[in-house]
Amino acid sequence: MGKILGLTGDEATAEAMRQINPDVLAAYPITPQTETVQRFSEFVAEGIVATEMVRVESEHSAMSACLGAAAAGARAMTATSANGLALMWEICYIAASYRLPIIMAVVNRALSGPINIHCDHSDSMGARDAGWIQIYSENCQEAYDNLIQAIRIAEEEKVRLPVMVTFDGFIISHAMERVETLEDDEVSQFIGKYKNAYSLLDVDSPVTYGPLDLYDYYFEHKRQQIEAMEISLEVIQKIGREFGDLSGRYYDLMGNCHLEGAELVIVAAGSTAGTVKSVVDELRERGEKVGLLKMRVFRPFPAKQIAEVLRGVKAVAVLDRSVSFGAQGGPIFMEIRSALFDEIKPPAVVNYIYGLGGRDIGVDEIKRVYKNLERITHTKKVDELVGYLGLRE
Amino acid sequence: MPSLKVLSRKKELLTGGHRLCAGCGASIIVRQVLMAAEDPVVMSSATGCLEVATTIYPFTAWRIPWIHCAFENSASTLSGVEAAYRSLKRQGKIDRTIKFIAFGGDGGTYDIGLQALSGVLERGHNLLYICYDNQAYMNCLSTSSLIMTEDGVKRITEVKEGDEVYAFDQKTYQLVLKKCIGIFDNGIKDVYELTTLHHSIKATANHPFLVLKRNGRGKKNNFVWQTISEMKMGDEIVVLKNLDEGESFKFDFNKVKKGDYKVNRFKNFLIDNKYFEIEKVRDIKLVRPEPTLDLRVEGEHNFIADGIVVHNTGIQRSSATPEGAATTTSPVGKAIPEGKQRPRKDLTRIVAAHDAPYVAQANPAYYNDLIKKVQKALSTEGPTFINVLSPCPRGWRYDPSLSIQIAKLAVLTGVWPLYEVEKGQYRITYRPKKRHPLREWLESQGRFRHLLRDENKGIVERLEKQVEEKEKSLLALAGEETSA
Amino acid sequence: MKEKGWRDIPWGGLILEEGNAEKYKTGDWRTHRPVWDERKCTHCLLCWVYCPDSSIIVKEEKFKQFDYDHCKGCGICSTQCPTKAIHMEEETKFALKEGGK
Repeated sequence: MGKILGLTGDEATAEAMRQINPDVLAAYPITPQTETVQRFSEFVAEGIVATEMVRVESEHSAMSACLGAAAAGARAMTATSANGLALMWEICYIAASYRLPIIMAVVNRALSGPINIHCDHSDSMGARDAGWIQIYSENCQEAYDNLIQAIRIAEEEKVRLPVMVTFDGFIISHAMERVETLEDDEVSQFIGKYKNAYSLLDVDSPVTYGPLDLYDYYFEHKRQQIEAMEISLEVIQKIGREFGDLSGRYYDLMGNCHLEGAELVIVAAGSTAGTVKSVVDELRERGEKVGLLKMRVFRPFPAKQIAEVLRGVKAVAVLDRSVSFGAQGGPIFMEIRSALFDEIKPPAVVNYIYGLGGRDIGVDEIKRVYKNLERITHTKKVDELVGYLGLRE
Repeated sequence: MPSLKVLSRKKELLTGGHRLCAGCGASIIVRQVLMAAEDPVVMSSATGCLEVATTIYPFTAWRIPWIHCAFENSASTLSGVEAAYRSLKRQGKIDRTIKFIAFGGDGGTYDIGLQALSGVLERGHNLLYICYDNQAYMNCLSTSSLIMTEDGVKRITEVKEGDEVYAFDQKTYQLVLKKCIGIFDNGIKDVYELTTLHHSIKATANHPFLVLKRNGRGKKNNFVWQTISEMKMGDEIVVLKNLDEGESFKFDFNKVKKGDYKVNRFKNFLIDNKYFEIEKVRDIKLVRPEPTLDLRVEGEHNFIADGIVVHNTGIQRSSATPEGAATTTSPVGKAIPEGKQRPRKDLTRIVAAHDAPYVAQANPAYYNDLIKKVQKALSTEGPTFINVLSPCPRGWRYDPSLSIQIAKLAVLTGVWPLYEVEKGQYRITYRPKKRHPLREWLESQGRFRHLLRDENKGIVERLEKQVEEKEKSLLALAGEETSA
Repeated sequence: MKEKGWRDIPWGGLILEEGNAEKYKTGDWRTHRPVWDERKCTHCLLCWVYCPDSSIIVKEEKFKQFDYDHCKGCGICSTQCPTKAIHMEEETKFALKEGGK
């Protein structure tokens, strides 16, 4: 087994990257991702990684360079946050459409404006249609574990989609936690070698990347991407099992949930899931039938699995740390509601928007949510479909 | 530099069958550049004429590994490929010598792509960036459309500026003659074929037609312009009666009487109009992507093409567009007589200021010079850049057979000096014995025609001075004497 | 050519066959075609270096023929030939001969 280290989220990411040892890393600094790139630069300077580091002049170029590198048959990684991801947005779609297994750590931070450097999920949620697999991490350990699994998920022959692994900015990225790391060679063995069947550097078999699709082919190319996303559900589960066999920490489409006998469930992604868990433990001691469903994989959305685990639950509160302006609620809420639509006896589902721009959320708010869910179960009435936690009215 | 004969033995790496315009400078440049390369090449291309026309799925004209990503990042995309190459080479996973060439038009280089290029230059990647500069964003009617001109029915490709073309006067419902003030290339677009009982025309989805809008019983009908994408079968459009292909037309004008304007469900709206009638759209179908052109007519905003009244609607200015050029976003008008008001960016000097080890300006008419420069650039360690003038028959408005001739004029008039900057040392690689007057350059292309008017003499003088100043400054940098 | 479904085309929009644009015949764009006068040709190959469509076929370092499948009739070769060994003729003449369209 590897070491047990005290690492912040950024440091854990850098450590995972060091062990993955990508051929190319192209990144641009942005708070709160900066520590990752800084730490990794030190590895490069010391010569302990083989990585060619491209210190690009913008995030747009970061993703462009990663795309070029991946098309050239190299393992490419990057990291960013918020507006950095927003600037890459155009190229993210292209990278997914070219089926390039680029791995990106997204340190969740609010999208401007006004400019805010603290945590919320608006950045990765904003990119949810880009065609990337999205995996949310609760803590530093998960950030480390998810990045390593991401390589295998992305490079799987039938998948070949880029993967973004997220974790909360500042809350996780800058907080030191206990992280169990694997040995260097355990990681190398687990991820294996990257083989791109169609590399630009294979000059004897020239390929063309990025042609002009007219109306007669674009749709078919998109359908291929949809198929790959479908297939990735199974692959993510498979890799999660393999990783568990190696490390003892098993992963599935949803995070480790606490749903045994639960009637009132809170769904949350990111570090808040940890807060909810501590409330769940406390309330259960008092005999309350409460539970937590931790979102892990958001894209592809594991609708079937979520509908299964929520069967028999009476009321669900979905916590969203982002807004979709003009929509009927936050992104996770809408997907969950849709997943439960066909259930014969679906639970009542309500939404709470919280934590925008780094607004803190504590155990008291979570307890209030459970109280509200209880009231909904007894009165069989939903007063407010979408509520806000921690907002000053 | 190897002779043309030796170069001709190399395999053609850009095939025929791409859909660039006839006479396009870009593909001439690409071919010459690939002739010059001795090692295998991996190429990236920005979105633009070259990229779009050479890779229409499922066809590719490239015989080399090639990647297009987006408009503004040819440089940064290729820098990732080059970084991968360096990384894999260092790890012993690859051992071939491969060269990297990034292509971008002036749009994708001077404007939106400038940041990516600058980043690459500063980081020192080992790649060559070539800008094919056709001095605008180049991009209606399919080129096979027939236009009704005073001299008979002509193919749109044969219509010249100044030709008198028939148009539909919307106020009087008459046929009128209007002067053609320009033909614009709109690039490769999906072309639809619209058929009525007697006519058929090919046009792009956004091309407007004059459609009859029936407003209900007792109400007056009116004509509206609608695009193919808004139209459907059964729509009634204004068409010309009795179009005989190849016949010359002699028209007497016939005034439409007031009573003819009445609504009549069962007869043509234009009752007893000698030249126009309404026909129903029988079919609108997609044909295939084709090169398209747009025709501009003075005053009236429509003209008759293939017997159907169609609307005017390609060629926008970039920061590489020279001062005085007419483009669709810097057209000539009463308030702005010169077209583009600002001088163009001197990108070559901007790149040289990055202290890149090799920077040059080249021209496909001087292929020896160009090939030598490409070879020098490819054998130089670090980021290199060559700015190549790319003549554009459609955007600059001249006959396609003159592309090379006009490219030469650019050098002879001093508009596009040929020089290189090697490790900061400027050197002029070709200098005409005597610089030709700028007027020769302006006279050769339709985009400058307005400058030849008497009232614009002052502008021409100013532009001539600009060329002089640039020449002086370049000579000073190169440490050469100005000619008398 | 019947178009393929999403299962039958390579993923990622990749085109795996190099230079297959050759199958797309742009020769029908022409209104005029270049005609070669063997007697005047000095095989300088200027036409070849200036052709935008790779439509001058050179064999053994000599001009062999035009690729009429792809030649768009731009006329650059004719304008640039130093010995006037290439002149442009109306395509219709040949269309009729070749069974016409």
